[in-house]
Amino acid sequence: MVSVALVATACSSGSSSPATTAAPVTTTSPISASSAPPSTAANASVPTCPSGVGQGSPGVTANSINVASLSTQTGALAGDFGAMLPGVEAYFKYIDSMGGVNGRMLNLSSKLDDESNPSQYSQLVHTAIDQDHAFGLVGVATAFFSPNYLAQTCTPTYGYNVTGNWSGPPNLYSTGGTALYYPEIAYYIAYLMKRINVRSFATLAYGVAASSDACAAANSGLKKAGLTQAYTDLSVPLGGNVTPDVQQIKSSGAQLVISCMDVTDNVSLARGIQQYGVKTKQYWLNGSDQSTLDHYGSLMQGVYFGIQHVPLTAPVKYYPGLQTYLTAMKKYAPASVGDELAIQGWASAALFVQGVKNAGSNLTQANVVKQDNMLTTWTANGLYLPIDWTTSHTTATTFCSAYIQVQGNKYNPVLGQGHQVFVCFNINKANPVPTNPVPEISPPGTPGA
Amino acid sequence: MERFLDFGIPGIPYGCAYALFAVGLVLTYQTTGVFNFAFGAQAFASAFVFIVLVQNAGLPIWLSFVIAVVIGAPLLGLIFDRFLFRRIPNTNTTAKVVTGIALLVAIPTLLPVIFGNQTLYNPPTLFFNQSIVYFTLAGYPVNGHDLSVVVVTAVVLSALLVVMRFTSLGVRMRAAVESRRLVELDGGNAGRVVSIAWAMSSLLAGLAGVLLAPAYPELQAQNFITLMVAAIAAAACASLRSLPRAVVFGILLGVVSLLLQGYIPTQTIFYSSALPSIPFIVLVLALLFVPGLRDLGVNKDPMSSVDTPMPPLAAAIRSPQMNRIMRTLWLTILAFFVISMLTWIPANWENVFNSGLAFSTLFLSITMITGMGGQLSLAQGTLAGVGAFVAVQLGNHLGVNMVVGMLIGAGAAATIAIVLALLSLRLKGLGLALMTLAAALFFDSSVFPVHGFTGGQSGVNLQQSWSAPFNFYETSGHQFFILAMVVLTLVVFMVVLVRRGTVGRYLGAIRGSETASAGLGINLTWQRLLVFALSGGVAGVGGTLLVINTQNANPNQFNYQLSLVFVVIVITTGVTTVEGAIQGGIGFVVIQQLLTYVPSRFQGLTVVLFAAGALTYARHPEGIVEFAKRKSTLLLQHHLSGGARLEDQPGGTPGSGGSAQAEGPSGSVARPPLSQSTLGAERG
Repeated sequence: MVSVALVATACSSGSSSPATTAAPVTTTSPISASSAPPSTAANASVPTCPSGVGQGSPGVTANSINVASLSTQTGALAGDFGAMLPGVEAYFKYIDSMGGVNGRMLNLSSKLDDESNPSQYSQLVHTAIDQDHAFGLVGVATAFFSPNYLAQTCTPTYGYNVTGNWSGPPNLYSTGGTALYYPEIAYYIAYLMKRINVRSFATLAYGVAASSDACAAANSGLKKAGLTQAYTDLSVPLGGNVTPDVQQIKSSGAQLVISCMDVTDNVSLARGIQQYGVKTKQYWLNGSDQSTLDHYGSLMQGVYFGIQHVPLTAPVKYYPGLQTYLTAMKKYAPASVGDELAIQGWASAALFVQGVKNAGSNLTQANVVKQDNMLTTWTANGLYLPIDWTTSHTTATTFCSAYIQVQGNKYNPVLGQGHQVFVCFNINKANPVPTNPVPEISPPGTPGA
Repeated sequence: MERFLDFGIPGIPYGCAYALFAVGLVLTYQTTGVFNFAFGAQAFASAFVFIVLVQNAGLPIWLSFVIAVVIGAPLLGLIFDRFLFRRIPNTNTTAKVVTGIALLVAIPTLLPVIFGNQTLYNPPTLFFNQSIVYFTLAGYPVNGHDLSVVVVTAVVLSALLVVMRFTSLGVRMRAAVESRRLVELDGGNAGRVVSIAWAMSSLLAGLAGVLLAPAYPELQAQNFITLMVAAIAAAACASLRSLPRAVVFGILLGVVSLLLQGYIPTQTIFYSSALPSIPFIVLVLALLFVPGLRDLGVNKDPMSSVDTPMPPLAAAIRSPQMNRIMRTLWLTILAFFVISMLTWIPANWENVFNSGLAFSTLFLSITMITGMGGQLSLAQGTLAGVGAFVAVQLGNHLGVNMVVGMLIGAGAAATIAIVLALLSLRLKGLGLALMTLAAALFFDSSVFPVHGFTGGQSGVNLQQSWSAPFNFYETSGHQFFILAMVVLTLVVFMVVLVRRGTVGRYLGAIRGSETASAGLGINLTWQRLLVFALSGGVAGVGGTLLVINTQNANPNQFNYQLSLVFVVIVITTGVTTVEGAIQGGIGFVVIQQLLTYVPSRFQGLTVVLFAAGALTYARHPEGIVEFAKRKSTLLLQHHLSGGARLEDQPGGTPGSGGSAQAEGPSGSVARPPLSQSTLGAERG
């Protein structure tokens, strides 16, 4: 059976938590000069490693820090996870080009590949920790992530959350926060529907939780908000024939198709919609890669996406972090500049480096975890919504999305206000119904604010 | 009616894709006698090379087509024939199946090693442009891809029918399948005929691959293999004999699938669970009710008796002196291993070996079903998954201790195995392999995706509480190692006891001759059920051990592809011996671990290495590792005996026999290897 990794970027959460006891970092020379340094919290409220765990500094020498990556580079799932690594490599090279962190160079000493095999993943976690003695794991991108040994050893771990297995332990970090909260998706879509003036929708997802949970949440929220669910199929076979779905969508009269599928089936869906002449708009949760657009631009015109990072076509004068990202990626990983996973790899690496930097001379795994968890407005140097790591391991608190639309050969930001690309909502978790959603003021520290 | 046409018509080009593959399978079977499990992999290989040539090398489409399909695909087929399948006696179905499976798992893994990991988007269209809708048929926009598939299917079918029915080549090809020796006696060149057949069928695989690639926005081997398993159902409905019927059933399968997809409400359990498994249900029904499939693989060659008998196992040719040495050596190694695991071996390698012990337990189920029972099962990974998930769910929801859960899980796996045995009572050889494959695919598509049972894609995390009082997270505590060793030892003893006991002797007799065994009063059905149940139970135990070690039970640990890989591994290391399973389990994980020291591009080579070993199955049905052991045993005995001629030693020459049974290492009893006639009853 082949499974897929899907909706992490669409349903991850950030947090603002201005009420926490934030204090500005007093040290100078932030890792990236492209954005303000993140705020930090007082020690008392910070999640930390269990007592006595993570007190060592494996892989650390006077001049370098050995780090491992673990992702699916080969096999059936490589297309969903393989592109995170170039972002990590680019960020490390960028940092090393500036002299490293606190005098130490970053060495991605092992790039482990689970070959789309969960047993291999489990073994490789031990390999990274016990054999390669990696100080941390960065760029972890696999459908088979399970926290057990990583949590037990409190190894600083940074990656791509597609399963919900990242939530909880203090040493696990994914972009947008590790706590997933699916109802937020309904808000983003409801707002889009309101802005483009459509009232009915169809949803398509695979029968795997990472996909179907997202679309199920969209169905639930949008229906409660009074919008019409014209059609839903939450069991589309992966790589199967979507023609019957396209026909059903056509006959249902759905005005917006929401796809929680991966990019390849999204492209098949778009082809069917185009060739059947279905008059409907599309919102995809995955697939905003430049390479996809280069190959399938004619099919993707007008498609909307919801993303959690600053769109790559946003004006860099308002988003200096984006300028840094694009410059470094073009230099160190040009083939992956436009990849939606590469930016997550970059952000993962940036958080690790920030923790190492803040740990200073007390460079232990536990201290890096603690330092990262003290960050209350972490934005990956100006690329993501601010995250409060004092709470974001377990709770999603702030809900924002950037909208992009395919226009020509670009994904252009849309629906923002002025140059602000992020649209934020105040979600009442007790009753998360997106009736007539109205944007809220974005939290302090939001890039572009 | 309009709705019927709306959903039915798109099913025609969809079904033609199945049909094209089904025609390829039937053609290969009809002309070479091989059920080519690697057909989908061949199609993928051609498509891969074609796209690389067009997109990366910048060659024109026509030239890329010539290189990848017209030249490359038949060449690959000729290589298969010359170096692999020609060496397999016509009657040895098991060797053909194993070789095909080895190619199926090896080719998609090998290509990225050769060409590098790369994502191939937007495969170029070969004939008509996929982006253009040429005309509309009852509301269905017929695009270039649809048109290409339908037209090519019709042309291919017509051409093949002409060749097979109206040319002497067609007749000679079919005759060569029956008996190459008879064709030779008649003055024909059977080898050449079979080579032409391989080139033809491989050309068709290449054509199908390049033709169907644009149906998927990104080229993935999985898509072709999925197509192939559906096509197997169509080919089976055609009894693996009729090309036109294969096409008809392929198209019907496509049409019915889309009709059901259109008519069944999307939010029902039938839609989400049963619909994806329709091809496999069809395959099961075909195997049950199409009479021609029951004797697949049964020998039809009147001259098969001239085949050379197989050599004995290493353990069977050892002198008493050598036996003592080997036993001492193995016990020393075992003691060294245990002491090392408990003292100095680094945590990471301890985990590797722990994983190897779990795999060894699982692989013993293959030793039982295939080595002892003579049945080629492709669903042992699935049975392991059933056992594991039952145990995990009992633990997580009811707090059942893992040892109890393991036993209950083993019982559940054994129950499924019994059902499988009942379904396949009348099947042998290839038919049984297909039935077990269908079962594995059914579980993959309909049972394992059920979130409440398996946790879906992310699997189920094991809870610490149900493994109490032991702490299996803590590798330095060695608890898992002790558990795995105890379980493996118990399973080994069970296997040896069964083999030495009445059941083992009955199974040996049945492998030799079912008719004679029945005449002796042996209840064939009961024995078959028993060996299925025992192997299923062992698989369940192995699966549970595996997930305890990984601390997460994930359905992808037990998918059908891994079931195939497991078979390939055990075949390589020796399916007839206990030590073969253990060597397979340990070797599998150790090689995987060693490959972590090389660039990630080469990390998939584990499967390729074992597949390469399995490809030698035709020459060394005892397993290439077992073969190497026999050779080294002979050499060692040669030295110990002061230089006596190798031919003078028992087993010194192929087929010279040796003692009927000899004590093997670990207290196991090594038996003479299964004859080519016993695995799947190939020889009549």
